[in-house]
Amino acid sequence: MSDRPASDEELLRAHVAGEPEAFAELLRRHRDRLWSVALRTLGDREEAADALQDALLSAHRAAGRFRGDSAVTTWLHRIVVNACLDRVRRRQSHPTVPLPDGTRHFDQDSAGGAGPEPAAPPVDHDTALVVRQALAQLPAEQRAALVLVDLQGYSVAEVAEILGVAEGTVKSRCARGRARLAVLLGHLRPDPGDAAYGNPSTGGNVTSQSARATQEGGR
Amino acid sequence: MTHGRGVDLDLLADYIGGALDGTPEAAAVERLIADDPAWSRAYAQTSAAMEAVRVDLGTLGADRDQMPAEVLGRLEAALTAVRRQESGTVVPLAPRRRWVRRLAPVAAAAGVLVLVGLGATALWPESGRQDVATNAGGGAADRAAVPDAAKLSGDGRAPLIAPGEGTSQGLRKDAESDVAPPIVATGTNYRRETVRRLTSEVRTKALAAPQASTQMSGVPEPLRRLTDPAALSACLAAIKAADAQPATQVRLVDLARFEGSPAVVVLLPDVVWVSGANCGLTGPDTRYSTRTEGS
Repeated sequence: MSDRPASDEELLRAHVAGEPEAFAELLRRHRDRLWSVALRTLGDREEAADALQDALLSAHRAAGRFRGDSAVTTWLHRIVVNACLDRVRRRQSHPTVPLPDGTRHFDQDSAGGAGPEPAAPPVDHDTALVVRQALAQLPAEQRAALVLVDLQGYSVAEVAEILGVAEGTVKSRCARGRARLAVLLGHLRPDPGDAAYGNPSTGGNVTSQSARATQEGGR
Repeated sequence: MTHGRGVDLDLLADYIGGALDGTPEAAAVERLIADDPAWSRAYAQTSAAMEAVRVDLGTLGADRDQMPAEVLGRLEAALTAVRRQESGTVVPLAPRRRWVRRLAPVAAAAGVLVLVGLGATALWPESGRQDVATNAGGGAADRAAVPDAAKLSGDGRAPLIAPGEGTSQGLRKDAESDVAPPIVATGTNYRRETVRRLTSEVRTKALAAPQASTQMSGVPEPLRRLTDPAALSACLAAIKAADAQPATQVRLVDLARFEGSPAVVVLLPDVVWVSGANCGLTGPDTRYSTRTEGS
């Protein structure tokens, strides 16, 4: 049937061939998932919008190099996640953490203009807010993996492809992220005297052991 | 929770999460869990806790994340700008507010903001049931605005000012052939699927029937601010700046609706730009932009 909607790959090819609306259609088709990934990975609307813009302009330019080895959505997600992680790395020297109401601690050089803004569309119970805060405290790589697997529902294999790492690494990042969240959310209550169960953010043994165990390379 | 010895939570998590499957570490952790009460207890607690976390993550409701319209508009505008640059259609930059300086006095000279109603349903029968329904939903506000719109046109009629046409209202080409755009209030509820074509169609009809005066849906209340020439000038300047085309000519302004919300729909030579009611206050308040059909 000629009425069949164009596939993602067809749209991307059409874009490369010069069809002016093809890429925008691709964006519209996947906008919410891409937005969700960026928003949950960065925890800030403005940052997410900036990262998405960087990513989409990059994809727009690089479309001709897409070889079809993976799905177009996988390719797009990879570019978006990488743009998000790049932003996280760039701001690591001045970390910002979303506040409960979605406001940010702004660095001195970024304080102008932006006021309090919800980190995400409002939801109807407090749990989501608490979870969102806890998620924001995870290392970015763990957060990105959890967002893709547990929030977006991608398989471990797909996420491995998106992130460009081994499946074992995705499993490890997700598992460690969940364990950290378990502590942060109070599901796992460590004995105060047992540093090994310390809250990761307090720098207990978990942190040091994590640093050692994270030398997993491409596992 | 007490433990006789330290439990490596990350290692335990790796084991529970399957990251150690098939490795010697998995067997080592299994032995610890079997032999060491602290590890055994930690294994049971951590497994349950990690499962609870999965449930918690479900409350975030990723499926509820919808890209805000302003973000989508911004992204589409950025893509449009890049596309235009790549296709070499960028108009040489001119002083940023050149056109704006002209519009305000020209519009002010007209003394009124002239509006035209073109009868949305008559023009676009294919625009669909959803649009008609939405128009009906917004109809009360539109109808309430009609008397004010009528005041703007002086006599309640809805004459048209066409670009480049000398009219009895005093609009004319200025010395540098830059012209005031026709400003209409069609009452149309545009959709992103149709705005490219329909906006061109509005302009065609408007130009073809410069004295058309049919039923006017009126200016949506939130857009009333933009019936002030200075406010509209600021809005158009913001749009053109965002489009990286500060010197381009506006071909049509429709104070209408877009996907149900009041919106300024602006036709540029090859782009349709849709802005919200705050257009010009701090920026273009972009809702959507796309290339015009056939551009």
